[in-house]
Amino acid sequence: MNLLIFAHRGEAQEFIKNLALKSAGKDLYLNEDFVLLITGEGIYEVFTKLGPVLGEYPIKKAFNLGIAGALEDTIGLDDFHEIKTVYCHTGRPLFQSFTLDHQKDALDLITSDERVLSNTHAMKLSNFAPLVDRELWAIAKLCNEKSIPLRSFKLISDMAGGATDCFDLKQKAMEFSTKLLEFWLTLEQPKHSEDSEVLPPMPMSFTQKARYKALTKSIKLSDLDFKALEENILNDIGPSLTAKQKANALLDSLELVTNPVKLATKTKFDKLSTPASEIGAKLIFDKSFEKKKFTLQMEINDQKNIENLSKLADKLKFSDFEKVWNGDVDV
Amino acid sequence: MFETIFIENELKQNPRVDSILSRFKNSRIKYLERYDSVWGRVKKPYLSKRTNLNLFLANKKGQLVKEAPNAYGVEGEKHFYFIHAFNCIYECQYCYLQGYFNSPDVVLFLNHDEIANQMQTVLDQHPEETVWFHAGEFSDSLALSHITGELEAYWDFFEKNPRAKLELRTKSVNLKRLVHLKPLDNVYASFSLSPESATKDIDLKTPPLKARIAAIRKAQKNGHKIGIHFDPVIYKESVFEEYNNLFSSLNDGINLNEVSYFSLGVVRFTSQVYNEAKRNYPSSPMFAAQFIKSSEDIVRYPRTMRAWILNKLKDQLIGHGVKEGKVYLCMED
Repeated sequence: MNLLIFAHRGEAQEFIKNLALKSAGKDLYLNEDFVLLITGEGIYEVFTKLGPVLGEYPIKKAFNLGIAGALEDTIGLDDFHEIKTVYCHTGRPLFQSFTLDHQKDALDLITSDERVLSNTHAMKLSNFAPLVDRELWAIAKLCNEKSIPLRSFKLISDMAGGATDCFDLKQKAMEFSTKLLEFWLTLEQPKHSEDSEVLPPMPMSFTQKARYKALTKSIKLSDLDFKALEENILNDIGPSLTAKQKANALLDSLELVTNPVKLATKTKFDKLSTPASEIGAKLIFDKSFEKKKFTLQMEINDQKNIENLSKLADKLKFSDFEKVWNGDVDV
Repeated sequence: MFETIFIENELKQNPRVDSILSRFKNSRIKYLERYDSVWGRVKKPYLSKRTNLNLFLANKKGQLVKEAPNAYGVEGEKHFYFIHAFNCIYECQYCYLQGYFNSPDVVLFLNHDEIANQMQTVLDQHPEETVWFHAGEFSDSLALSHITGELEAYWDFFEKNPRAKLELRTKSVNLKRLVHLKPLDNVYASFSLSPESATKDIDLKTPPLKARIAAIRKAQKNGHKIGIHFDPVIYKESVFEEYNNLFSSLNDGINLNEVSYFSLGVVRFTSQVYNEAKRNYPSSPMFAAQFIKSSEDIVRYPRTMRAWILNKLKDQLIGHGVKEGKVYLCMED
């Protein structure tokens, strides 16, 4: 379901009529496809009314439509504008802002906690955005909390400031509602695009699938032909391997594209660790070989172990490991 | 370029302000008490710089010269950066400015004399040492230099203090003011370069590579000392081939022996900047390679990978005739 959010009944009236919405409670209307909510004026009304609705209904997308005031004289009255980023001013500017889903040429807007009735107030707000309303920031905050995509469209009703006539605006509500509906009906409803799932070319465990998804996403950002690359790798994978081994072989090969020295690094460290493994000891490295250190681990249950460890100390040279950390790998 | 120009009230009579305003006749002008009563007060999305970029003209208060982190520049010498501006007109996808400030709006600080005074104080605190002062930490140091008039303001200080070194880091080709200034032995114009494909696809809105190389040539011909930064290097399959071509093209008209230093560095981010960059440029080719978060909360290529890349590029650079002692690796331990 999609959600239509209005501040005033006057703005919503044509929508209620033309979309054949039925009352579902105070200030709430619905049909099969839409929920329509009238929040009332101001951010606190939005917080009170919108939260429960977002919790109760399975909202896919939200749309706020209504009127806004212009804070710059370059903005034309009766023009429609989509909103890009919304800010808030409650006696002082709030730090948090929200950038809505939007098409090109959208404008910023600032939500004021008070009606803008003086030019001084308007000038202060105009430092942040060219449009002002009373509700959008709160709507955006709640939608953001629920990760619901939001778009907002505003009809510019007046120049905010000393010339604002709230009574006059109420008289024009029907006119605004009609214009908003006409505008709304001309909008191409963007199709909800599902993330196309990336399917691996062979059975994989959950962890392997996650790795495959991440690698695919990265490699597709490069200028390589991913399909051709994957095909080549698959052709080279030995048929006698188990399913798990085949998947790992594919993933390791893909990983080489994103880090061409990973295998060579591991091979070199494995080789340098051989003297340790021959006496039952283990050299434990940092996961990505990022830190220039390793831990030597060995169970001692015999004097022989200690003697072997002593001989190992003569064989292991830290400088050999340092060379690898410093990029001495054959690729 | 700028939708609105905000000017601090105390700069109303500043002749530099009039000169700047004369270049932006279509911008709206507003006055305010302090630039930070608006700039940075709200979280303005980084990409809003594409559609509604504002300019603030202000005097910087407080500390104007700060110590730079280790491995910032040539080893063994003291490094500081000075704050002459916030934010940049270019849009490089890896830029740390996208996670650093709350607003992409440009701030130009006009109290250059105070900045020079603080540089003098810092220099006096390090007697008998070479002290570097880097411009371009939070902005490009030459891109808007033809309107700020700052180069002239600093030149005097550096001419009087040969122990102090000035580095002007830039991706710009704007040499309008630089070429009229007497070359000094302790002033370096250092140009950041990337291969053609990266310049086009990742260093958005910057001048094309050919133009940047021409600018280096011109600055060198005018007698200015030059540094070249190959930073950040972004890995791709053809990275070595592309850098080889880049190094070859430098030989055309630039005397590499006369270049004072070269630096090499791979792309790196703080976690915050990495997340911002992914949000702003999700399809950027710079995310094609493997990144890890290293112990210093820096997101970069794994150690052996970056060491491998830097070693190979260093060898290539030396192969093109650059002396090894002139090449330093940026931000690597």
